[in-house]
Amino acid sequence: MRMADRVVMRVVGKQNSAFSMKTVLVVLPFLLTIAASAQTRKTFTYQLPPGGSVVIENQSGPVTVRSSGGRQVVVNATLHSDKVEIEPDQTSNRVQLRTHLLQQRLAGDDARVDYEVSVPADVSLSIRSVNGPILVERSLSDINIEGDTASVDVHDVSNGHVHVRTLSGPIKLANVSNGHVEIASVSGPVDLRRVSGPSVEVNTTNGKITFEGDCAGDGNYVMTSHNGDIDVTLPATASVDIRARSLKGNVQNDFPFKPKQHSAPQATAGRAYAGTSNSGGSSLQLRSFSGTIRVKKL
Amino acid sequence: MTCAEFQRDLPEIFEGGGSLAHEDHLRTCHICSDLVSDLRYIAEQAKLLVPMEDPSPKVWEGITKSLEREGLVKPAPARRGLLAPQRASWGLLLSIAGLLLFAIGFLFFHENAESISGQSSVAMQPAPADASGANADDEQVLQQVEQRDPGLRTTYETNLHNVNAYIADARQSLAEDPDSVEARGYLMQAMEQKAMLYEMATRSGR
Repeated sequence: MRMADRVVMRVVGKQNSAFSMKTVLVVLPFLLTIAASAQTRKTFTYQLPPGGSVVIENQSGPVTVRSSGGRQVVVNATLHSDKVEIEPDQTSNRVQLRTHLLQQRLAGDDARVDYEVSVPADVSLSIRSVNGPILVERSLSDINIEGDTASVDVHDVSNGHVHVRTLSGPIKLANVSNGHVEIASVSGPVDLRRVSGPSVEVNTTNGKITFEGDCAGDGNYVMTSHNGDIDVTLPATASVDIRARSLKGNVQNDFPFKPKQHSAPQATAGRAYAGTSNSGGSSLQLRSFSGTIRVKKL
Repeated sequence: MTCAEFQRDLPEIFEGGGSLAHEDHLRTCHICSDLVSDLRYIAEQAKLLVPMEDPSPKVWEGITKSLEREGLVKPAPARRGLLAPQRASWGLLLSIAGLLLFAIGFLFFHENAESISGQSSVAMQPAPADASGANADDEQVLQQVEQRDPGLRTTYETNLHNVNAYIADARQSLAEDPDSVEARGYLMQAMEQKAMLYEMATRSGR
């Protein structure tokens, strides 16, 4: 007996059957066809005026939103079972797509719908997913994202409010400019790269916060955690006025700030730091109850 | 007007806008001013939520009991418009839940920070909590999560535990230094995290 046949039999658990690799090869396409037939693809197309909004609520499955030219919203949805359906709705300036579960307690592919959406860059987005990953890119408007365990990835956006909340899902933002950014997660790690604007605020309980960027825009940057560590990497050109303090943890600074003599927070040595770099244009406040705060030079 | 008097009137201030005396106090007291700003922020954020289905009667019952236990509302029909589930929106529910959470945190702070009249402190005891900081509301929220998606319960339970630990640490820190603005800030942050968790737990059930 050939090795391949023996493997097949072992996997199938039918040593005495007439099962062979040939059988598998014949049956497999049919099985795949049956599996594929459980998927349903749907396309929805809408026109949205400037200032419109798109709302997507999903349970499971990725939600990917990219901006495109024109005024069309195109939604390609893949339903992975017949136990879910999509409830589309449109008013004059709002498009809403909501995944509706036809049974309670559905999980996995039974509840899964994949959304691929292209939208005009100037429409605001509101996306909610329980556990499917959310990706938004190239937006020029407000973005509101909420996920329980869903991972969130937002990049190449500007000029909008970016609000992201997760329970434990990791959050990544990259290339966000001129934004009012509010991030909150209980335990999800938060990773910000080249994120700047008038206001950037991150709050976690035990999620680690990582920030790499120049804190441009003369803005207020505030990062707070309970016991999650806060790692900040700044280029030499960063113009910030920094105050870092960990009430019960440590502050480690390797960036060549000019230390402040008189306005440093009252603290035990190694638990607080205050300083400025260049003209100190942006305020950078790092606060942790018991996590470690590290600041270093890029 | 003292802070204690002002705080006793908070529900009326939020419902009716408050009097000149309240406004005068707000102008001169940064503690109460900060509190009102935070409460308004939470209430506004909750109102932004899209309209949703009413929660189960158990949730209403639990929140009503919690509000009564905290002394923020009187029992039964006195506030029928506010707590009637048939007419209330989910956003309003969350506003109340947010207010409740912040009120518990703030009142706990003031139990340590300054003396409040005996009548008020009796009426405004925090919800009973066990050693981990969890209370009956937590269990109710977890049950709701489990009912919807059994696989999510563990995640919520772990995160609730973490947030409760945050609250406990912040409270301890505040108890050690009742005048610490920093400790109060941590307590507010921790309460915000818990309010967010509650909101997410109850919003997901659709």
